[in-house]
Amino acid sequence: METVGDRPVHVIGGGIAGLVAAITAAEGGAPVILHEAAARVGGRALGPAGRPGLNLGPHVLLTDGALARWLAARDIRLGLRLPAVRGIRVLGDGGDGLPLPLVARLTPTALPREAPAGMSFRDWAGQVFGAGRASLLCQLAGLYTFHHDPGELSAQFVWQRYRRVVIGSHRIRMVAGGWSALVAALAARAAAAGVRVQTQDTVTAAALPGAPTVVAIRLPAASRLLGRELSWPGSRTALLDVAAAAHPGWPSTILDVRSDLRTCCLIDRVTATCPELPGAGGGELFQAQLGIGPRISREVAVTRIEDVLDQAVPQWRERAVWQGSRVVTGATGAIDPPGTTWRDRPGIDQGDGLFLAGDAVAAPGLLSEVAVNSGIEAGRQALAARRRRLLPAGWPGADLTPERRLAVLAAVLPGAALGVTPAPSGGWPVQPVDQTGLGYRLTDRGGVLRGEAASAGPGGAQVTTLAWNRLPRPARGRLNRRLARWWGRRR
Amino acid sequence: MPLFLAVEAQVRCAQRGDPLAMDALLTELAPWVGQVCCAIALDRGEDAMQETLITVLRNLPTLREPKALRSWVRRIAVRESLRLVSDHRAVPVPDVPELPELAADGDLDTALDVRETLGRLSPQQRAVLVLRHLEDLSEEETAQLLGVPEGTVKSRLHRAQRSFRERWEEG
Repeated sequence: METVGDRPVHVIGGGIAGLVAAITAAEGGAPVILHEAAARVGGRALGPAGRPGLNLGPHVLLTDGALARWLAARDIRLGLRLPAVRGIRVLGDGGDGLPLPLVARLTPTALPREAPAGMSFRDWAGQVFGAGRASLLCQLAGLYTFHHDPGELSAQFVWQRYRRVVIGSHRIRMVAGGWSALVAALAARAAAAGVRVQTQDTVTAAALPGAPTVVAIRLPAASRLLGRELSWPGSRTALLDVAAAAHPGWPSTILDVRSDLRTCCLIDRVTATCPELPGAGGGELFQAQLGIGPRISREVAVTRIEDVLDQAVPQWRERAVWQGSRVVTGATGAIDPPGTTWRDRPGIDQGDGLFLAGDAVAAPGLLSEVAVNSGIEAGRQALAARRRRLLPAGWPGADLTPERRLAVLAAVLPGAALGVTPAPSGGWPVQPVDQTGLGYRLTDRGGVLRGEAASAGPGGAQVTTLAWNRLPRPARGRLNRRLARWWGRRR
Repeated sequence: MPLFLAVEAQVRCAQRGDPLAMDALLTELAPWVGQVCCAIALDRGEDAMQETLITVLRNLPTLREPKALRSWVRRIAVRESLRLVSDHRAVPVPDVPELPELAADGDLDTALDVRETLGRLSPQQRAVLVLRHLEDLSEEETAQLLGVPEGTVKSRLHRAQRSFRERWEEG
């Protein structure tokens, strides 16, 4: 018997997903080789060469998301900036105005509710909020789907993102220095963890490295490399960047929701939050995005975006010093059509010791968080595969089931209470695999911990509830027991 | 040995009693602990995993150096697994009832084969096999962890490997 020894984990593709997968595998103790075809790592997270710090299109980070948590767990500190709230303009059919009327119209959407995956967002929102408000919500979904007609997508997909991006907009942060700063931090981390990065190293189908291998390149390229069908719908998006000499009184963000669009056009003056951006050359930088249909040319899209600038940014044409535009297809993350969820996308475990990572594979999250989540999972699975490789197939193992997990936490947290109730008929009260992909929910609100897990018990489906709080001793146990009972009944 | 850099910050938060950090740590440790426990404790592997994780979280504040988490958890996992199976001496040899054709190479048969073969080893032999081959420890480290002389590890390993290989090849 030989030992696992120095057998490496290979990662193909040095974008965000590939870097995260490589770091995860290296932190787990495996030697890792990262193969990157370009001269530098970063992939799509890097902007065009020659204009450092610049990305095509706006980029943000959400503080409750997988990327932010992953960075925090490693103590990787990026300069995070709050978006400029002053200077937001909304361009509607009646002209250019403040965002207040729009925000007021969105008030009824502030209450939490669940949306079905089987319906289109337009139909569902029409039923719940009425046709007028629904069409505005559909348009706003252009912000985070980059799609030309987001109303056609799955209601669950759009609604979950709306909740996080618009209702949770206080969690939005810009990364100082743009996403090049993020890539640099990831590359430094990879180096510290001992990842061997090989740039200008193109892997071909004929010379695939040995298992386990994480394939972290775009789906069409992965499809060619692995010789199997891997695809998922994405958006087609026009991106425009304009650098201009500074001018006082320009808005920080322009949102165009005029009714000739079924989506919205967003223009962000990035230098309003990150004035030191090197690519802007000391002036101002505008970044615009507009989802476009398959038959719209780049020229038409650019003209439409320039029209928004004409309406809201006085003298921009005279002051512009540089302008770049691009139409990208399938480069802005996965979109889920009605009847599908993220679980239906190409899976991470492709068999034969091959694992997929990227922003269009089966992992939860918003935009780049999909890349991070799938990178972590692919890295973990590659580690496990590496361990298993030299052991006979069928070597025993066990998963920590959700109810065992809650039992462990209940045993450890002083005074915690655990309740088990039969699930009501008519489906699972807690989705067997929820947003975290783990099959349970755990929330900590104001020092009160609430956990729920659904499982198949001896007498049919059952729900396990965990309650714990930080109150002083005598009150704590009683309250926890009561909470566990109450939460269990309410389901 | 493994860096486990990632978990360092998590460990510090969990040591201070943050339940969400504890939960994240469970996610990080569970698959690995499950493999170690199941290979030693077999049918009682899930219980051994649960006991291990409870012990780990309870005693986390005593862990001075988060970097040492992995070897610390490994020691607890092996100890808990051995404790559970030595409490129930009858358990470790599972009954494989009337298998029609053991030579077939289907996945289920393979899995049963491995379990059966592991089941015929003693818990201590399984522990040595796991530490040397799954965990990649040296003979010296294995001996230290199990608290036995290095020569004992060598002979146990030799016997475990031989019987494993024989039974494996026979199947």
